[in-house]
Amino acid sequence: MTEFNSIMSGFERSCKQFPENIAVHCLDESVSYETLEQTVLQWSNAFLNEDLKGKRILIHLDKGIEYVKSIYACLAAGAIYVPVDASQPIERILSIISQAQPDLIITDESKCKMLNDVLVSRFVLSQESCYFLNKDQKQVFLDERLDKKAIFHKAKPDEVAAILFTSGSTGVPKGVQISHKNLAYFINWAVDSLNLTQKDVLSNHASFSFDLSTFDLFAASQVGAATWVITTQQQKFVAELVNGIKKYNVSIWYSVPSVLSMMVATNALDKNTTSRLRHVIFAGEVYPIGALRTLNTCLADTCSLHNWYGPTETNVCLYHKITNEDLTKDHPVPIGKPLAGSDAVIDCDTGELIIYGPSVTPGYSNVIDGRNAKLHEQFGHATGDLVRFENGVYYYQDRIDDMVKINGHRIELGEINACLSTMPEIYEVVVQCITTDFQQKLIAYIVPNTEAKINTLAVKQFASEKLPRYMVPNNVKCLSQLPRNANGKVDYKILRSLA
Amino acid sequence: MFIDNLRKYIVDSYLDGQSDMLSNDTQLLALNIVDSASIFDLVDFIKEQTGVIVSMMEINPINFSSINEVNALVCRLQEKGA
Repeated sequence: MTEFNSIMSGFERSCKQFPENIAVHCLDESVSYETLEQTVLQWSNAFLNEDLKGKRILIHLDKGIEYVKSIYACLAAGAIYVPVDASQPIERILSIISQAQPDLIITDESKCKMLNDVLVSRFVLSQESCYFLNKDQKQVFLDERLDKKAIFHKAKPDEVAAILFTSGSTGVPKGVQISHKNLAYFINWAVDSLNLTQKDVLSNHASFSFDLSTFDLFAASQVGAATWVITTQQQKFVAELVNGIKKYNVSIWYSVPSVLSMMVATNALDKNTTSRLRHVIFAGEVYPIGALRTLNTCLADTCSLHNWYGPTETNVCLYHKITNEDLTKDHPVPIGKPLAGSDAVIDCDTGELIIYGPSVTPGYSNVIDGRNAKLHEQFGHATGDLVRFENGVYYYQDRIDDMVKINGHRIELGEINACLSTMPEIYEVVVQCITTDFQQKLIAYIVPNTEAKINTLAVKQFASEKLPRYMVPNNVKCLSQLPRNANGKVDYKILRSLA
Repeated sequence: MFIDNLRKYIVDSYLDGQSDMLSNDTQLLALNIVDSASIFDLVDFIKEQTGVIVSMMEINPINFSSINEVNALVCRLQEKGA
């Protein structure tokens, strides 16, 4: 039987084969595979000493090289990494911590203070040294514990590698478990499909809590290529993004469409800037066809464009390489066809896309989803996306439920409803996403408590303390009561007309 | 004054005319009053009102974080151009 080709065996191979290659660029720092491996082994050995093999390690750090080291150290120790985006409000991070039930939190000294009430051991990164801070607040410095004999954990296919938290409809974030098999299947496909080599430089725009980042990190490390980690501060600086593409000779760009559109809107992308790009891949939301045509004119002729599709529960499961003919159409490009070894089926009653294959999650870590629990056992996932099949490819049409995507972020409207319902001045609330030709807006329709006065800014302030910025409603409409149909259900048609 | 016009534009375009609680230091991006797409509308508004062209280098979350920051950006660019 051939040995399972896990992403960590690929990383280990690259460390041996290309020790001097740069593994990660971030700001003004670049780290070689050799240096990365040394820290990863040092930390992973320390985690093994703490008996963390198979346990959950939550990472609460700013995006950067230390975050990458932490992810690999968790995997090298056979632990499960649970990434959180440190730019989110602390309330949401605490909610994820309570759902994730981690056995260790990797953090830095400034963030450690924010977690004072969390009774979980810490691994604290400081400028001088790293140390464990146990539940009894005892500090144990790492240097005393260094064991150079550490080796990489050999993962089995069904072991969980990561838990990625996404928006949950009831207000509780959902933890999507990603197995080593899920990752290896997708990453090996991506490496072959894009013909990645050690000369490539991959951009990493997405947060590490977003499934897009698994490609940026792990596909690069399978072949000894570099990843340019874009910090949270840099993510919205168009000039930083464009300069980085040139500075690091980025050859593979992967992000949500809105980031590419932002670069196009400032006339920042031209054929000179993009001359080294071999592949531009977008995922996470529909790319409006007009905007995609404009993007195409900014890319060098040697660069190919790809649309990848898949919810966090399946990672990328459908793909499409965009043709010139696709760009002549007046509708969005297809989401494509399944990766080899996966199947896509349209539910004949609902029109919903169901995916079967090795990329499908083994399930959620903290909630039971009635619809998907059985399917997950059979490596299937009902995506909630309505699709059509035409000329051998699938096209996205709509959602079956209340989930929306804004700038690639998956948002359950129910989570915003649940949050706003706790505002004392609010009696009733319904949040809707209104889509126009140009943008999507979240609108909160609010019925205030008797005599309470609701101000748009007060609602935004309340939401921004509990939810990520992209979930804060754009507009707030106050109503004396919610419109309801004859059955007493909220009439969404009337609500939309009030937007 | 540009800052007053800017304030009115933000109140009318993004806050349904509600100006209570909005100060010139209110965080426009953090509160999702202005999102990344609306920054480009503000860039057009600045050009229309003052003739100042905001370059790509200046389009970032710090320069558009509050009414005061946008105003400071315009003043800086006007001085540069003078």
